[in-house]
Amino acid sequence: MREREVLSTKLSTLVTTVEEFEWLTSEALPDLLDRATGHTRRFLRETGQWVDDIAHEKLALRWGYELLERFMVCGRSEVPCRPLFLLDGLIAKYFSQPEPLCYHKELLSLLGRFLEGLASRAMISRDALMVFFYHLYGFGQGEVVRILGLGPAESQRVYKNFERWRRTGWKRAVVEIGMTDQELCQLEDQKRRHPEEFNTQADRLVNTVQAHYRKSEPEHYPCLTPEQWFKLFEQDYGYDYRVWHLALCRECLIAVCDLRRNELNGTVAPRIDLRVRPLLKAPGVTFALTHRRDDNGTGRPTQRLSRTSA
Amino acid sequence: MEQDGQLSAYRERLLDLLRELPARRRREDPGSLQVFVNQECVGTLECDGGDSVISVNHPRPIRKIEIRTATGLLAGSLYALKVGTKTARFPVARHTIEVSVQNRLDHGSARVAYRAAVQWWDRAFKKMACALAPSFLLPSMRPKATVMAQIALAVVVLLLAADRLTGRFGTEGVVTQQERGLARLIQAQEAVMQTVRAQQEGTAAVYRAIDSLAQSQKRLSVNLVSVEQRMKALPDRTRREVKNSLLAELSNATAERERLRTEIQILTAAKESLTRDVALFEMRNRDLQQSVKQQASPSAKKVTPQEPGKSIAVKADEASSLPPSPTPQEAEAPPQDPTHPLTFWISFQDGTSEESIEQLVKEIHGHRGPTNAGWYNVEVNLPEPQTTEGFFELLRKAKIVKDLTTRLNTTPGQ
Repeated sequence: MREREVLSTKLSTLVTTVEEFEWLTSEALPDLLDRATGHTRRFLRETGQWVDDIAHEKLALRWGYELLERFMVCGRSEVPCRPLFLLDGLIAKYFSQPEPLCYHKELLSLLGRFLEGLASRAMISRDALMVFFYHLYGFGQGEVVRILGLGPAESQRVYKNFERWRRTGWKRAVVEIGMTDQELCQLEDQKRRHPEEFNTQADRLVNTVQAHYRKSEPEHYPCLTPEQWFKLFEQDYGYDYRVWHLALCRECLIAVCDLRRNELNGTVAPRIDLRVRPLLKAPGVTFALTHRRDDNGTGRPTQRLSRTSA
Repeated sequence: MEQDGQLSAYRERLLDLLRELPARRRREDPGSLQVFVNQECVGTLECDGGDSVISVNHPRPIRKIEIRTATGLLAGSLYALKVGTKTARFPVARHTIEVSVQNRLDHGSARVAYRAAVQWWDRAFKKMACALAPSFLLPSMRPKATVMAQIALAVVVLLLAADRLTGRFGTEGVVTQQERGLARLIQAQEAVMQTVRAQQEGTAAVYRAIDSLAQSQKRLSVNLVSVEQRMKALPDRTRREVKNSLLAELSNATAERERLRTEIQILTAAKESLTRDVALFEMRNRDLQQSVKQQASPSAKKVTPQEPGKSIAVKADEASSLPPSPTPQEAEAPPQDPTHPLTFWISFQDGTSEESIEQLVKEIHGHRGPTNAGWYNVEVNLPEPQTTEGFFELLRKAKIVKDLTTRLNTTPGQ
């Protein structure tokens, strides 16, 4: 108890070296996380977005975690500083942005949380962006490369993206989103029992999620006409735009698949076919992962909020 | 309770992830780096090869810049809340990211550079290559020398290792082995020396080629300068010529337009006078027809009582019809001129329209002349018995007429 008091006092005093800052933050991580979570909770209360349930508590924790991650990285360049005040300043700055957070009631279901979590991850991770094609439409890495018309170097990177996601990315994303393995199994059960209804619901939610997160990158936001898409593929430019926009715009993806049907060699048009688990190499591993259970939660659907990235 | 347990488990997981972050940054290969400016992705840095740089110009000041690896790991983050320059360096695996933000009041720019770590063997080989390479060798040629030296060294090491292994498991004596080893080492050294000599010759040849290339480049640059000067001179002259020709064309077009305008004015005036003449002829024709009718019918000789609304022209016609009317034969023949011309100035009431004025002039069979300060010059042919005063009295009865005079104080046209 006395140690915590001393630590708290040190956090308010001036830190003069990077090493001291790193040591202090690593020692006081629980306190800092609680502080960041508390600020988030207060912000949600003040903006009328708070409900006393576990979903909102989880949400506040997740945002507190994200804010603390930023603090730990950028704080190194702010030394000398008083860490606690710096954290408060960064959080205040983040929450004072115009409309940093908003509700999306469409995304409060289990499926909505999963889709929103994946899209949110795709905004900051290239791996997640590439595998978004797989989780939504079931496209493997080869099909993604063909549809996007990427060059050899870019194609190689797509394979790496899938590989990293398979090894660590998916698991870490699920942990960060706060979904338990039981909830993932529920999703898979829903899909197995009522595939059509499941995919119809997913179809509707995908449109909402894509429209929401496409705003995060204004330069890649506008859609192209089929003629412009044809020109873009023919003249072989705009790789970044292809990847970003087609991952987050289904209408354009359909148009591109239609335009490039000769090059795609039988790749079917994009139809929602949600995949919960990552693409695995061997069927045996898929089976093992599918039937794995984790006892870290009840698996009950929880309510959560989504976040704007713009 | 169950919910609390679930929540605390989630909190612990997040804390573990946070604790793991520094180790992940040291361990994970970045793959590619996404650069976010004010929470918008502005580009990707590929880290597969060597160093890479991305520069961003933002229409607004850059408040926050984040660099994330392909897995989404936050590798670097920088807040730049003030105007000015801010730089930071972040370690990623063994590599380094350098971030530089320059903010102005209305815009900002950022530069993110990925510096790949140099391996220890790379450094060693480079040093060796520098030592082996001739002093005149250009820095750009040194990588080739490095590769050659690496190959030579690898050959030597392999030979030595092979020699050691065969020596260890062989049946010959230690001395013989050492002798053989020494002989092979000498051979290998000779081979290395030959390679180095060949390399030196090759580099000398390359150096000569580069020298000639540099000379040709110099000549080319001299030629380029002269061509640029010519090009500079050529556009100016061409521009002047084009400008002069355009001005000439424009002045021609203006003169042509003025000429056309003058012609149109002349034609308009001619048309107006023609219209007046036609109206006058029609009027005379009508008068002649009336006089023919009057001669034909005795009752027509009776003078009808003057109607109050009868126009001035009719009165004037009546006045002019006092002398005996000509017979049809006389009308067809060139008529005698029983009239005398009268030129006078007339002014009209304010607001009188041009149409009314024209109408009046037509009624009195007059011709309009120039105008001066609201006065209109009119010329009429009065019948012989009618006097100027009588004619003026008749005219003054018209509502639109303001005043009449035969002479103006000011000269027309002034």
